[in-house]
Formats: sequence, C-alpha cells, structure tokens
Amino acid sequence: MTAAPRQDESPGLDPLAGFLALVLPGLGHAFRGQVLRGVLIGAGILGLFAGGILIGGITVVDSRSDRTETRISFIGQAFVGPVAFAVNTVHQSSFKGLDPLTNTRRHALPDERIENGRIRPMSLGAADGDPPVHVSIGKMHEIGVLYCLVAGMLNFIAFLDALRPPAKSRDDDEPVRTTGVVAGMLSGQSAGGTA
Amino acid sequence: MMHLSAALATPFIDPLEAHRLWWVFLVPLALLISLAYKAVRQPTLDHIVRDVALMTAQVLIGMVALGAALFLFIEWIVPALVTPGT
Repeated sequence: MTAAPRQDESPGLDPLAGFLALVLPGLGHAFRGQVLRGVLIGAGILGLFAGGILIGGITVVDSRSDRTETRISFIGQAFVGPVAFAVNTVHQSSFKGLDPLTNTRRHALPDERIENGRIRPMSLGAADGDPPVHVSIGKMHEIGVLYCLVAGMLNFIAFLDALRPPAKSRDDDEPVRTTGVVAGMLSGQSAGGTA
Repeated sequence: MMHLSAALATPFIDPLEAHRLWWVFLVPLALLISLAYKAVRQPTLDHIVRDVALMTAQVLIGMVALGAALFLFIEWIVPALVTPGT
C-alpha cells in the first residue's frame, strides 16, 4: 500500500527570500514570484515608515534618543531594514552636533546652531538662522514613532511569511484549509477510492 | 492660522504642525496596517480592496468603541466608585 502524497507539505525554509524581505519590504515575496503581493506589502510598510517621518519629522527615528521610548522603539523600527538604518545614520550625522560641555551628540536648542559638527550657542557668535531640525514633541512625535514602529513589526511578519510560506502556493488556486489529521484522512480516503 | 515656522518646515525633516488634528492620522495608520497585513495573510488577492476596507473599518470602529468605553469608565464609573451615594 502506497501512501497518498500529502497536500499540506510545506515547501520549507527559503532563507534567500527571508533575507530579501529584510533588505526591502515586499522584495522577499516578489522573489518568490508573488510580485503583486510584494508590491502591496512594500507599499503598506514603506508608506507607514515614510508617513511616520512625514508626521513626526526625522527625529522619530533615533537610536540614541534622550527619550527612552523613542530609543527602545528603534529596535522595532529596525525591522524595516536598511532604510531605517540609513535614516537613523543621516539623523545622527547631519542633525545632531557634539556638545563640547558634555562631549555627547544632541540636537541644537533654539538658541544654538551646529557648526562643523559642534554645537555652538548664538551668544558666542554662532551664525544666525534656523536650527537644522525642529524636534517633534507631543502627539506628533508619538504618532510618528508609532507609524515607524508598526512598519517594522509588519515587516517582521512579512519576513516570517517569506521565510516559511504557507503549505500551498498562494495566488495559484484555492488554498488548502485542512491540515494535519483532517488532511491525512482526506488524502487517505482519496487514495482508497482510486485504488 | 499656520505659524511661520510651520510654513518654513521641511517635509520629512521637521514635524507637521497638526497637534489639534492628531486623531486624523489614525485613519491612514489603520488603512496602511490593513493593506500590509492583508497582503501577507490573505490566501488570494482577488478581494484585497474589500478586505482592506473591511479591516480598516473594523480597526477604526474598535478604536472609537475603546475610546467611548474609556470615556464612560473615567467620567462616570470611576467617580461613582470614588464617591458612593452621589
């Protein structure tokens, strides 16, 4: 007696698709041939990430923030991939300066300016003008951080889905809704009927 | 009236000056979460628009219901518990 082929066999791990999903949201699914699904995933996740930066400014992505919740949130935001690290790097290098008093990097206050990477008070002759960035506060900051954090969490789900896709290839035909014991009974019954 | 600094704000660098309208941003948040989640979880994408619209509505209704429930709890139930007999 030969066993009927199981319909719920998992295609197994696909490390390359998982890696690509972390490189760019949606790329893992596109690599697996599900281009439309990848485009929708990318649009949703990158839309959330860009929306968060638009609402709260670049200061919502800050791995070295003075605010604990913002600093911890970067762990989740990092799952968006290199985009999040690039934004954080630009933020740290271009919008923060070295405070000569504390020897730490921080944003310039309204009466300070950043000159040659160092924070300098206007009272000591710093050039006039606007500070390089307005730090977001209150609801705008919270919502911006939330947008970027949710984007990272959703890309983690997409990464897991690309790494280990469901039992049957989607977008091709109807999905297999029965698994385990039920699927085994059904396949056994089918094999018995044709024998 | 928009403040001068808001008019000079650089998109994606400076934050939006919309503190009074913060709740409006919950709508695109729910929409984009629904889009990404349904794109991952749905077996087929045949009804993606309907599914995303349905989940967005569910999330928004859920948030409004939670807000209303918390409002009732804080404004009515907690005062009644703290000052019994009033």
